[in-house]
Amino acid sequence: MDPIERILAPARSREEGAMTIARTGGAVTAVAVIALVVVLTMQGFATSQTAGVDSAKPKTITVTSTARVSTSPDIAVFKVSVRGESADGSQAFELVARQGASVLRAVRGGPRRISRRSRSVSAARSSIEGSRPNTRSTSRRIASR
Amino acid sequence: VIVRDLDNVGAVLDAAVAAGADGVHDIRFKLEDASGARIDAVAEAVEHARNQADAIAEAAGTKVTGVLSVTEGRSRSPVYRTANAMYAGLIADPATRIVPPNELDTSVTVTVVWSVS
Repeated sequence: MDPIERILAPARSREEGAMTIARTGGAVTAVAVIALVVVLTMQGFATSQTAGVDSAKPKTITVTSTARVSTSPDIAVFKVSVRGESADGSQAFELVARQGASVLRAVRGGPRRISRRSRSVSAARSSIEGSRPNTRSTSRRIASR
Repeated sequence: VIVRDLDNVGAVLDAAVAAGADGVHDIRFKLEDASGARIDAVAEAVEHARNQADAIAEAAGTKVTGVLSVTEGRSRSPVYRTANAMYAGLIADPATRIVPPNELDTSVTVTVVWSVS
């Protein structure tokens, strides 16, 4: 049965207050209910008992609850950048590609369980026209396995 | 780059920098699949809401008979970001190391409308 369906099943006695669970072999280490706001909207509840009116309106209780689950992280993600400079744009790209490949080789050659999601290569080209520097930047993204 | 062996994150970063990486950015620790933690948090929040509804109903001399609606409000996914520093800059100080957090928090808020008899 779905956990929420199980919880929603009526007529079950429940414990009050913060709860802690431990799942052996799993990532979940602790659960705590950290906040609770209760809004009582028993529309027509008092009036229906005293005057018997408004019986078509459903009687409800509205509860807002916040729960927090603490888990241990299982992956680390980071980005690596390399830099290559050359007067020639294509040479700069080549330098960056070579440097990037070298870094990726080093990273993959280290500990196991490392994957490479994507890599991007960007290059900046600067030139001076007269006394005013003109800087342009281009980038391209390379999808990889 | 994704590293699944968190004990070796530092070694991987060192290897990248030693191989010529200009910088290492945006180091994050997270759950590869956060859906399980989120579902657990939803279940706990709903269970606690039910407990409160039962207590209120009992105090009011009535009983909870069912659910009219459940709305999931704020939900926070667990991601831990290190200081946004260039790891290459930290190499000079061996005392400064990237340490994974022990725990990440997933929080979920639900609003449940219960019908009462």
